[in-house]
Amino acid sequence: MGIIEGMLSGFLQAVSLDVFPYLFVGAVFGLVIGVIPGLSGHFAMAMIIPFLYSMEPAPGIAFLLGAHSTVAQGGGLTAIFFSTPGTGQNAATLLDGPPMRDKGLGAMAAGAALTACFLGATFGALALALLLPGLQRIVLFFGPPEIFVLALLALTFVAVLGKEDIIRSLIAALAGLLLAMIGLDNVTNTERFTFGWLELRDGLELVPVILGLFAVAEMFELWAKGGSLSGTQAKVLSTKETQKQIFQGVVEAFRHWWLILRCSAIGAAMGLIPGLGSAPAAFVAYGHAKQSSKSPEEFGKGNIEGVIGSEAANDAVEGGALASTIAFGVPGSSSMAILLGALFVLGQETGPNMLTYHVDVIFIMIFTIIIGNFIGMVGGMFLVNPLSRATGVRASILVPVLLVIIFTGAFAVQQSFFDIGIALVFGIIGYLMKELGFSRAALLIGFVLGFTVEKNLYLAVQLSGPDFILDPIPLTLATITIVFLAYNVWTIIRDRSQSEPVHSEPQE
Amino acid sequence: MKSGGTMVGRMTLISRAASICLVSILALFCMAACQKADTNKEPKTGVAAFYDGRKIKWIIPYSPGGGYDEYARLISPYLEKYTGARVDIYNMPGAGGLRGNNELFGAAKNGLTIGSINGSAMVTNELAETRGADYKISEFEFLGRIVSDTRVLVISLDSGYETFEQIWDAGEDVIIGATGLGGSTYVDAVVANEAFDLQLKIVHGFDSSSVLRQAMLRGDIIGSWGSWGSALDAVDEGRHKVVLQSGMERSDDLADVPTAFEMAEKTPDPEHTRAILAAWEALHRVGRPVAAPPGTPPERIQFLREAFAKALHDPELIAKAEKSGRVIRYASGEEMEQLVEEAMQMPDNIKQFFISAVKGQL
Amino acid sequence: MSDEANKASENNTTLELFFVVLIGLAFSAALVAALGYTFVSARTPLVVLIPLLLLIGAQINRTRKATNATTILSGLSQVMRGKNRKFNMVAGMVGLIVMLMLLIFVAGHYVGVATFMYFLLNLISKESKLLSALVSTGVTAILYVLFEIGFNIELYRGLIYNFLSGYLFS
Repeated sequence: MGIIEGMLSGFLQAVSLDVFPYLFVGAVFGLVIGVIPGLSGHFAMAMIIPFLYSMEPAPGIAFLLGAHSTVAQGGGLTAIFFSTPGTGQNAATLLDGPPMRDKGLGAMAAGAALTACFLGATFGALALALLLPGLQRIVLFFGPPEIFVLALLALTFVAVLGKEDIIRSLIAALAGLLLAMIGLDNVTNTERFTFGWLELRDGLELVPVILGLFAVAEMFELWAKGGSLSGTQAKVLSTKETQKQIFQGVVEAFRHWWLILRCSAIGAAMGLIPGLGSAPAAFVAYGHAKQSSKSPEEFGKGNIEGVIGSEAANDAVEGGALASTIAFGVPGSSSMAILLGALFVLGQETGPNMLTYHVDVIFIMIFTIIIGNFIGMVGGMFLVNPLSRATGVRASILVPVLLVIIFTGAFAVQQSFFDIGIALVFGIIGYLMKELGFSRAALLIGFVLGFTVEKNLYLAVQLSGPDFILDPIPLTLATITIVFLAYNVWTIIRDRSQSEPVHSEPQE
Repeated sequence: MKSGGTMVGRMTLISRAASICLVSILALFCMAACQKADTNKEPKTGVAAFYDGRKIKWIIPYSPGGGYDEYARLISPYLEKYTGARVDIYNMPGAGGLRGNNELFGAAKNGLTIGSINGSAMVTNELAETRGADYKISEFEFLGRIVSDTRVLVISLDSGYETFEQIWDAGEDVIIGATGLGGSTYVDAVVANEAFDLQLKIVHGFDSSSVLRQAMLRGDIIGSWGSWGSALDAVDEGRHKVVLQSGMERSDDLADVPTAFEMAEKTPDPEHTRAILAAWEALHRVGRPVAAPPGTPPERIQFLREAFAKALHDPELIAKAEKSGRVIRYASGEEMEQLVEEAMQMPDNIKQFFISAVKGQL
Repeated sequence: MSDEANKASENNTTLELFFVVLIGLAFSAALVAALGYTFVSARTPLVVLIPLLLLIGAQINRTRKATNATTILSGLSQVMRGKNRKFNMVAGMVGLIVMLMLLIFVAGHYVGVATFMYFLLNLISKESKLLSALVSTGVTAILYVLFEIGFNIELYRGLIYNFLSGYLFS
């Protein structure tokens, strides 16, 4: 069937009575899962699979994708209000979200984040729709050499993020890279840095590390400080005030539409690339937002652009991942792998046949993402008030409760007691890093990308020999990376000569 | 730390806390009540009474969404039907399946824990004495097998090759991809190389079979080994083709594809080739069994075996499995014990060969 | 800078010195370990470790210059005498969490978590017994409903429970 026909059919099916209730329930479910730390998009989908066996394709897909699309929105809310990322994707929101809350602007951040998420997801879904004809060629574009260089490029964003104190940021980034190497080296199956522990064979699990670095550390800080999360604003915002702020946030997001567009593009592009994951996309978008902002020094202290950029990207990522999943049945992320399995269960095939004969199903997916995100956005806004009030609860009560929730979430990721320990260890590290001004974001980027970089380098060399870097695309990308890096180094040197050496100060 | 602020403040806090408490306890009671209401009203006797209304934990040593997980989620409702118990799937990924296997081996012996096992990997791990493999496969109490593995060599048609013979003649120009070193796709490739003296280049390190498929489409690699189940949709597209299958006879869905044993006749030393292939095949026949920890009481094993057999022969399940493209090839618990023994009993030189393959020394 | 801010900044510098020296030692140990791996395995860790150690060295130098022996010693003695508030709070919390983990390991997640909360609320923060009891049981109950019933995730059962169900002590 033709594209227009497919689009209409898809839309009508998505809003039909058979399908819409599932979409709605899925979206709300996803929102709740997103709010709970430790549970992520692919968990939400795995939970839904048992229900799919008795469903028709259309409602089944709506249920799945509806849940999946709202997870990042829920996660963004907890990231802002409790400094606890609900999912790995929301890690970048931690950089500017909580500072805004500390300034009493938490509700505005939430409004902006939810809107940015929605717009980003819409962009991602639309990009998917537009790219459909050429999808195949685009997805095939990215092989080990290209992924390697792109991952390097993403790493250089560390330079941008850590401009203020390059030595400390580089230490953090390199340490992150090293942490990624813990575990079984998949080239020679040697165990690296594992002390012989079985639990470390697969390396450190991302979510407990993030929970430790950002959430537990924050709890330590709050505990040491006393008072409440909403900081110096002793009075918690009234409902009216909160609503006003949410609205302002929404407006701000729309005002920065160009930023959202760019960050969504970054997100969608990185989603297309298999293996990079969604956390790097959010950080890269954040870095870009910082670079292109008129007030970069405000980043890290509560600049709304940081929140907007990262949230727009982390939802657009899934649009990109969906694209590569549909085009070939090659999943772009772990949640997409589950989606594929689910599609199979539903009797739906993927690949070129889908593009030719089942375009309407693809459009159901696209519309589900858009509508689901919209529901998530509106639903999320209802959550803002209770969450914002909760931040007014004093530390003596909030810290124990949140710590318990965080550690439970850390355990839930792989049902592993060991992960609780990991969260604790990284909590200590994260707290020290925050106190001493080492960039945790840099550590995270290094950690997330480290393995990708090494593995793809190896594969690239194996497949095309060490001169793979001279092939046209890797070469162009590499040149961009070098230029970007050089520019940043130059600005650092230039700024350095205008200021004095820095004492360690609590930062971020 | 000072105590709470004003009197009013504390009271509101207490009332809020109390309401949260009340709601959750109420919810708890509702859930508990609902569960009780579900169980069968008929009184059961003997072992069946033991399982009635209880919870069976089914350990899957891989993350949700994979093949093992899907099979389990497909089968569990039917297992529930024939045991009268609730079956809860418990994903325990890690160390390539070792973590789940270890957990199963050391689990409580009351018959309330069962687990899926990657049969061939388990055998090879034990033979190779892989560090961290804290189990003895022969000591498991097998309930039965879900499916045996059919391994296939899939190649990309864009490569210009169309049959196995062509690849056989090609030699080092052909690159085969594999996932982890010592993993099943890797071992398959190494075995095929050895059995047919292929001299193909094997590149491992790809993340998953889907990344392998992408690499095939890009032309980075010519093909890869894998299970027939995972190759299924790629083949339908018409860009990939299965050129060789494991197994002694051609399976029904792969009637035009030669088996490795057929090809063995064309090698310079068919006996040696067949010996390797036989050992390989024995590993595949272990397939994906479900087992209970050693020491579980025999009556409960018997009960579970029967329930498992009934579940896997349930026409509804078979229909659903077909619809989702999952093959079921049942073997009973007793048959499993034999299959495992056969797989472990390889001639020494072949055993050495497999051990080096698993360790990635080849 | 005010006297207090000065003190805080000095303390931070001392802290940083210790921190950086510690990670320097840890990564040096990693370097030694990495040298023992085969070349292909060791390649990337070494490429990362060498610049890392150089940078840590530079940072140690920088921090050392920003402080002196007296400051370090006075900061240290403050901590030892229990005068440093932040240190006490954080170290205390870490200790409590370790005990939480032990408790979970032995008695299971729910017991551990409920006890932890009650202990912190009532005995440490001196909240009323009623409030502490309500919050600890309420949150534990919610976690149970959510995770066990809602998501079917079994939270850690603990040695005692496993022993009672006939576990082998491995």
